[in-house]
Amino acid sequence: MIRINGREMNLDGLRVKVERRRARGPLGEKEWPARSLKKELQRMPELDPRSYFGIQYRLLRALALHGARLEPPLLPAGGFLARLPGLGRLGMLAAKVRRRMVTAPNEGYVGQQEQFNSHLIAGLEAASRIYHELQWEGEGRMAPPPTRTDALEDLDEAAVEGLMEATRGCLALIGLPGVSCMERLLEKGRLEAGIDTDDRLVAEYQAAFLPARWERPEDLPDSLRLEGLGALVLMAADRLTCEELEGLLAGVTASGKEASGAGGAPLLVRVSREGWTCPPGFVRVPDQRGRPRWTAEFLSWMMERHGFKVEPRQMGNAFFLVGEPAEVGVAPSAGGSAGEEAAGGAREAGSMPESPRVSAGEEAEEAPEEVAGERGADGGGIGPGGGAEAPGPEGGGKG
Amino acid sequence: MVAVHQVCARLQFGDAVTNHVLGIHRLLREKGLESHVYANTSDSVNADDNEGEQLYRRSYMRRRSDLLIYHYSVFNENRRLYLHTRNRRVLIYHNITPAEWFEPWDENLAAVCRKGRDLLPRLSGCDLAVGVSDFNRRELVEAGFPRERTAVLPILLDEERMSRHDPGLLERLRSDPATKLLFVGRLVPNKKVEDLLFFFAHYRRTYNWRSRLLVVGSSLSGRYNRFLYTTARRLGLAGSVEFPGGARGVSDEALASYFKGADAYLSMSEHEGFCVPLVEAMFHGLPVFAYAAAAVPETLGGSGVLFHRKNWLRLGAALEEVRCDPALRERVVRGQRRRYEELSPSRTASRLWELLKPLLQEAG
Repeated sequence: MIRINGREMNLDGLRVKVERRRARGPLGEKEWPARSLKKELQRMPELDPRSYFGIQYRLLRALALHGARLEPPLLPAGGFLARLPGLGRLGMLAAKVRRRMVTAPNEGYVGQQEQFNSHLIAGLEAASRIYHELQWEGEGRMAPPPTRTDALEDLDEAAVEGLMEATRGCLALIGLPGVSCMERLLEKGRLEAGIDTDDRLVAEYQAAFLPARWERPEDLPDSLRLEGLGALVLMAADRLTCEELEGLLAGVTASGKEASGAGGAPLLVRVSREGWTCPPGFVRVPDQRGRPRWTAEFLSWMMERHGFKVEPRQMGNAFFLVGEPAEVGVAPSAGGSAGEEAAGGAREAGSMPESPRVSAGEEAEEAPEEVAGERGADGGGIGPGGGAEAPGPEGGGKG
Repeated sequence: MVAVHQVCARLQFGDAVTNHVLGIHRLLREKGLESHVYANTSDSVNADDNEGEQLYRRSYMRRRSDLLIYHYSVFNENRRLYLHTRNRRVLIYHNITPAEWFEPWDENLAAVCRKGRDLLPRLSGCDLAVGVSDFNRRELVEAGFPRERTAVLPILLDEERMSRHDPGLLERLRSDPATKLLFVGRLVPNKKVEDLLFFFAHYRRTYNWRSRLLVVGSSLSGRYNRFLYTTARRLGLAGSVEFPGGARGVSDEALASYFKGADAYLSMSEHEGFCVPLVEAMFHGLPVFAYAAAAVPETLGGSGVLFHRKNWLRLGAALEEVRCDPALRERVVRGQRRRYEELSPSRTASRLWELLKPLLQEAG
């Protein structure tokens, strides 16, 4: 019984109103876009997991391009959130989205919430449109992801163990190192995130419930919170151009200093077998299939230039350069490119021996990757500009 | 000249019993009577009003002509002053929470409450026993106090204190577009703060996600506090529930701002001797939604929205009705204003005078 001003409330009338109110939803469609979304999603048929994660991935990417990011990241499907009946996996996404839209204003950031919602809706619309296109063209299934041709082999168990022993805390991986490796790190609570710019690959990892995300290399230093990060592991250095490598290292050092006042988080760079075993003096060498690989020597030199104390280490089937940030980082000369350093200032940095000087010396003012490019180096694909440099038929070699 | 002495456990800023004691003190002085206050402990704000129990024990305890008003709200050593005084005795019973409420949370608090309630029958030898509500008066009668010597005197409110507000806080509350539900009171188990959280979670989910719950009050039991914070987090309410107050509560100005800035007052309490915040909400024109338990229906006196079952769906619907229908809201507020007039300080002061006058005449 409810009494208002001493008079008993008409509960039958109230019940009718309650039902009407519940059917109408809390604030009406205009004020609660998730409700419109739900209606929209109800019209869609059940999705297969790959399409679902494809859409989820595209949503995240659309948000990233709009400068927004889901915090915390979407939970793996099958979590504690209830399914919406009749919607399948897309329903779960809708439930998560709705929950997110409800929880954010809890934190009191109403303005930010509105901005976030508008980005989210834009992302969802994009995802929904793509989904419909896929439905139309591919009967609801995305094409199977193509095999990446320039990837290094997946890390074996000993390599993963070695990686965990060599570092402390959670790792951020730049370039995805294989599902089993990521799973092992996740199990041990040592994985912060895996980042790549290969759309299909990221979607595939997300389909395995792994925290992989699409990210542009130039955004990495800003987006990665180095404070509290155990180590940064660059798995796909071969897919970066020299300029991108330089930018990444500079960014990581700068954000590390900003975050911790010292050199920041340790940096581990994976080196290919060919790059590891090649004789001294090379910048890039071709692997067995002619794909260009950075040499350990060159990568060490790059890292040392940015203030890392580098120690080469083999872990299982993989080779790593373990870079510990120095207390006071050795900053590269202002405005000087890696090429200029390689040409004139390498001796000051101390570790790059004669060969690059020789190769760069011939090309006077050109950057090393350009030199290497002429000899068949490849930029790979991690950056949007990746692949601009066509691989040469004979691969890298001594200048 | 007859002197009136008031003895209470503590003089504490923001405490309802303290305000009542000081209200009576002011009133008696306005009437030209000699009035003194003695508390076992007092905070820095009220230290000047506390004359110290020693003074009473040495100078006034043996005077037959004086009148002692003993405020009983907690088991305390000062009971001996009441039991051994030669003054005429008036007991004002503010109620003591039954120990069962505290047992699962805080054994020490439960023990104090148990002792307090056990002592009540031994305090019956007085000239007048006053309950701050009829609910309290009935408890006195059940404890063995002679019915004919019992009376009811509501809590004396301080309108000036209730009117001062913090403009900055009020501005912040008013600029927040969310619907703000308010609860004021100590965070103790009998107030059922967890039910507020359960209801609020349901209300947000079912009716109005753009809403906020403000739980304003000081905390007593660390274990119960942790339970509340964990419950809020588990219900996904972190951020939408605020617990201003901490261990010491909020200032009068902040409290008034919360009342002025909120949209509705909500109480799930299952044991109240009077419940001053309900009357404060009435004063500030805030619709009151309260669970009908203990003295709450009596304090509301047929006004506000009283619910007898904790049915979240119906309660949420009723809340939405009042929130969305300005005419209904106005009717509720008007009813509450009428009730507030009955509990207003002027009426309570007259009633106090009616009760004390014969005793003072007899003493004089």
